[in-house]
Amino acid sequence: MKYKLPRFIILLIFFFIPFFWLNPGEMDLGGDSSRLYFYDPFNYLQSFPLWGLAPDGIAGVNISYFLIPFVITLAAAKFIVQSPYLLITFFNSFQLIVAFFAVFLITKELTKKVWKNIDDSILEHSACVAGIFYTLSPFLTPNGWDKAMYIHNQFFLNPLLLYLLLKFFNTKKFYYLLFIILIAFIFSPNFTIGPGVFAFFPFGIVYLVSYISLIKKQKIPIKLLVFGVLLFILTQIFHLFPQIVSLLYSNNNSFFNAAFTEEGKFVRGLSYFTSVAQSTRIVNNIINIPQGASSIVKSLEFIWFIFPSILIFGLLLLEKLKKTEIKFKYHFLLLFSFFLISLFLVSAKITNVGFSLFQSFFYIPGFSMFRNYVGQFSYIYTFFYAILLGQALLILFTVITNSFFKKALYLTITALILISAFPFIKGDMINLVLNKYPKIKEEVKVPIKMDPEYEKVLSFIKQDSVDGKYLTLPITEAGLQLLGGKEGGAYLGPSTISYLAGKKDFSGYGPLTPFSNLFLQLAKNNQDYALSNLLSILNIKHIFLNKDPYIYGSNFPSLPYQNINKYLPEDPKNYTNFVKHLPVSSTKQFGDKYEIFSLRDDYYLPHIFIAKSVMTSSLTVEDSSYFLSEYPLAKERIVFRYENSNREKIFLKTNKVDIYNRIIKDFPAIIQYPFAKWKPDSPIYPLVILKEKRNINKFKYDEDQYVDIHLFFSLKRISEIYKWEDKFIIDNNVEDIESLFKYWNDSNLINIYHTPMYWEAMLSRYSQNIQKAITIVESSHQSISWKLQKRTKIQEYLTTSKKALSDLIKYSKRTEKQKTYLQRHVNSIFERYLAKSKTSKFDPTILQYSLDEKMHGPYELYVKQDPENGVGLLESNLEINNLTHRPEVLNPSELWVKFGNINLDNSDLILNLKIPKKELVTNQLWEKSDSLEIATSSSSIILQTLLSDNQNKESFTKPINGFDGKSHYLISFDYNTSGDDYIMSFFIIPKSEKKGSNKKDYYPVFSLLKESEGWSQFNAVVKSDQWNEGLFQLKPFVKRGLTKIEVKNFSVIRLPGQPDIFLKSEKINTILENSNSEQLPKISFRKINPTKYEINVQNAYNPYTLVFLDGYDSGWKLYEADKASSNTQITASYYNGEVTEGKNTNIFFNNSTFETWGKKTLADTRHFQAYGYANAWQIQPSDIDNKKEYTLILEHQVQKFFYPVFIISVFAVLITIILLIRFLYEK
Amino acid sequence: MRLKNLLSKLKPFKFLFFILFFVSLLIDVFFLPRYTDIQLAWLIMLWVLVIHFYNFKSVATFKLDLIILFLLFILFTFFRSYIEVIDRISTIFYLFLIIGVIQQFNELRTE
Repeated sequence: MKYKLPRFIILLIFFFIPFFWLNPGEMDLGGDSSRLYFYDPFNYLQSFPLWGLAPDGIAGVNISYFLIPFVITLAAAKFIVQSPYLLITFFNSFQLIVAFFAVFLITKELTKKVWKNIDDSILEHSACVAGIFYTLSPFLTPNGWDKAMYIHNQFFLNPLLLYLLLKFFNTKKFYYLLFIILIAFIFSPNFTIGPGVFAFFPFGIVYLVSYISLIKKQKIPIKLLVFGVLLFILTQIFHLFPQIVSLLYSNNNSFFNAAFTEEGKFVRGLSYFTSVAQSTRIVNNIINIPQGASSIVKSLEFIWFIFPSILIFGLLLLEKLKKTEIKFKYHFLLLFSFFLISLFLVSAKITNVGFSLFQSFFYIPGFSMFRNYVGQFSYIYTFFYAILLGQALLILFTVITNSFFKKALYLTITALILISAFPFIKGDMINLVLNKYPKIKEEVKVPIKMDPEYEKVLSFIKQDSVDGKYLTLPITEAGLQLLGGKEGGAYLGPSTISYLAGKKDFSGYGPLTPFSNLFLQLAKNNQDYALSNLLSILNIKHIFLNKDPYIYGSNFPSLPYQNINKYLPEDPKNYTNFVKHLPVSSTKQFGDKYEIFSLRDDYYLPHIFIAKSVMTSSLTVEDSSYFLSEYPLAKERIVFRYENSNREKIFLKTNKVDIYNRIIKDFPAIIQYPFAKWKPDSPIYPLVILKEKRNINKFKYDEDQYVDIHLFFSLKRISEIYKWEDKFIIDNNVEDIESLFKYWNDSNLINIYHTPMYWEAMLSRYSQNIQKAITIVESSHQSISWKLQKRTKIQEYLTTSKKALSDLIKYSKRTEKQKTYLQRHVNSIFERYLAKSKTSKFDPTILQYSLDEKMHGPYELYVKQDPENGVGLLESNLEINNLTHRPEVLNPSELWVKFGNINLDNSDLILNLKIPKKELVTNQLWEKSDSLEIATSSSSIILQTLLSDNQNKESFTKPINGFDGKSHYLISFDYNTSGDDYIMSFFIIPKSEKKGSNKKDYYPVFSLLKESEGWSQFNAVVKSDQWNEGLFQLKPFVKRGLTKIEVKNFSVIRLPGQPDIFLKSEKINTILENSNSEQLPKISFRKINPTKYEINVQNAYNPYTLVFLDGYDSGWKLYEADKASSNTQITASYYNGEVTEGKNTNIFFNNSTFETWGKKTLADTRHFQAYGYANAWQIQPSDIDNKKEYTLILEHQVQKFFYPVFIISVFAVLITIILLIRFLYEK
Repeated sequence: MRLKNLLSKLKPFKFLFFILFFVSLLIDVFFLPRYTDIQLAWLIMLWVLVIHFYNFKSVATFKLDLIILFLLFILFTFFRSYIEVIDRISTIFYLFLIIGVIQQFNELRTE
């Protein structure tokens, strides 16, 4: 028994290690998914995992049922230990102990069965090292312990379950499988459809099966195994089934997108994988240290080379073992093979072929889950490494006879692992600093003690009887709540109001979606009325303000407020002022840190209500600022319905036409040319042609892509000729453009094999692509704005290509005659197609819009005023159908400026906003570098100089002042260099470094070599940023002699941002005047649980619109209840009793749970999105058999279908427990 | 048979292959501007020939792997910025481990 002492010592050490991590009373609760279930598992369970909807924000579908058994187990444990600190610490101890012991036992079990006369003491010590290695491996310690998520339980679950499975295979005793099923049920979060399961168990199970059938030559108990798997599936079905259903039926599901879409597989999957692979070091995997940031003592990393050395020594000494140990030898090699496979998986880039193979796996739907492959395969890799190390040591300890050497080796390895794991042992992975930024007041760590005052806040919110939402301030950009601890430290994680107090809360940028940007803009511009209306439509009843200075600026100058600070206050005082500008009253103050405000009744829209008027609109949520700032939405119960259909609309959105694409830019380069891999005379090339045709045909039914693919292949022709121009042949017998167009015929095989290397063929193929693109655009039934955009794009491609081809011809080594011939054809092609692409030239004073919706009737025109976009709106005109509309300004600071009225007549409309030109250059003066001014007042000047060898720094410069922060500017002028080469450069002077006119302070933006024989235009677009001064330079490229350049019309103008324009129907006034609540039914609603509501309707004589202010989802269904509600208690009343709210509950299961089964849904086809996010139904009296009084049940399908599978799982678990008790009793 | 004949003709030059293997290894790791799989295949082929000519057992391959590991250790400890070289040696280390394990499987089978 003495030899068993080490295991007990190690278990004791692992039990106590987590007690070093947290001080008594502290908790580490933060992180993206938080660990709030340790703090208050019972309330966490009631707020989140029991329901299929997110507990925060606008509450979309969020299936987290898998947490139910785990959180219930924690609640039971919390009931025993009481303290969350102890619960966390004991759980951490449990993880370390189970991880160690499982690896220890599995090492022993694997060996004992194949090595009969093994020395128990040697086996014990080797298994101990294996267990310690796995538990304290630097590969795993930094991987998940920090802000641990529930998936991190795989750390101890994986070896534990494999051990139980091995015992089952070895003994054929079914109760081992039953243990697995029960443990897997409790830790269901680890058995969702995710990478954790698929990265470990398939390899682990295949290894065990190979071990049993190939090494031990035993049979696998298939029948028992199948029964066990069936039972396992049934116990897990309660969360798997809803997940699979949502995967199959919702193509807007993030899981679906990641697994099946091209974007998910390749952009988020393959691209991410490739970038991770670049920084992966195979050597780190070989010696089992982490990639990137290291958790172990950096200077000791080299010591970890001892472990691969031990593995190789194991292999070297394997032959020294007795011949009778053949099974062990085979097993060792089998284990080594699995180790090598896992090393390949965790490295991904072993050989180029291996890397390509790994990349090709991303074509398999769902494989993108392994994009972060190092972290995901690290568990299986370390598991095999640990067991293999144990077995290698076993060989070493057996072969080496010197006992001193054996002891020394054993102690050295153990000591090395412990020393390397010292930062982990003392809790560095838990005691992380949240605010690692320069210039902070004090470090804020993750562990916290909960502030008793804040506990009072949570308790107060839990008792709130109104089913309204909360807004938590300060807002964070990640959407996580920041909360200071009692004695330092801070919680940064999901809203505690949502996850513990059960109230839907907007705690940051993310949960405010889709109104995040709008909220920030309104707050920044102090548009209090619009902001109040936004709170109304979001069903926000209370604002929780955290005034604790500890969580503001001096401690958190950057994240989580980095971008938010540009829009919202940065300190508690200003936040208080910000709140007080809103229509709120203080409800309760908690000490000096926390305060809850309530929105005034006339601004509060109840969770469920009946609309007085519905306005249809094609404006998007982002454009909602107009009606938010104009109408009393809550008071008048005005609902906005965003629609894309051709129905008559009150608000019409105009589309901005990107006129800046029309600038023929010298800088920056606008088009990327595709890569030409195969030379057109290559034998492979006919296949390339076929592939191109196939690719083009793929997009035949998508006009947008169809145009783009033709343009893409037009550029490919240019890439080809650029790459192999000198190899191209000139036929020289094509007379006109018509003959040129027909020169290439890709349905002719001879043509395909013999002519691709001809210049004429290339030009012909280019023309055919462009012609096709133009034909698609012109014959399309798409909107006018789409056509304008495509025409502009075609023109952009044409102008770029024309320049590229002309330059190519000009600088080619062809004869002058050939050059003239080619240039003639190039000119005729571009003349023809530029004329056909039908876009007007770029005019910086005209901003263009289109109205694609064919409406009729009188509308008012509104343009948004935004000082940042640089449009002088009050000096602008709006031109529509040759009619000029001028601004009707009542108040110059108005956000939306009216530009008169217009009568629409069901036709497409182009709107031209004529704006004043803002010129930065007021003269045409140029300077020479020797400061000799050679300016002239004429519009065209000649800059001329005589260069000698020592004067090659001669240049002409023009300073430009007045650039504004973060705007785009167009620098343009006409030039004629008379055949000389000139370098045209633009430099900027950064604000902080400007020290006079010293040239070394100038930073180049671009430098282009230009030459012309006649007048040419130069255009460059630059973006100002942290500088307001620049310098344009013209420098001759010739070394000596007389050189001159003519320049005129030098101009620098700001390219303004396009303001929003919309149209408002004059019918709106009639709609508002006619809205009358007397004709509307009265309703009384109550929450049964977050996924089910009961609505009593009275006096329903007419059709009406029922609005429910939770995130729109087609899973929300209305049913008619069999009986009226017995619960008539009223807790809140709105609109003089027209809407009342009953006593809200949180019932998970009762005798009414299945009341809607078998009932038909109501008004399903008239379910629409209100305010751009919420649910609304148009209900007709005929939907409910013309009844006047009835009760509706509003229920979400995801929860409805969860109950039956949950019952199945509960039954399966009960069967498992009964069987287990029976087996154990029999034993 | 042809292959056997060819191998028997090459056998007298086995020392040359032995030298060639180590020279190729050094050239591949330290001198070639670009790492390709063809070079790796060449190294493996040479080593397989050396094993064949000298009747080397898996122990030889594992010893070679120990040498490569030592080289890796030196580079990792003192020349860590040579990332590509370290990656290349790691790959070679991995491939020779595979060769050794396959050899040992074979040896066990015959045993």
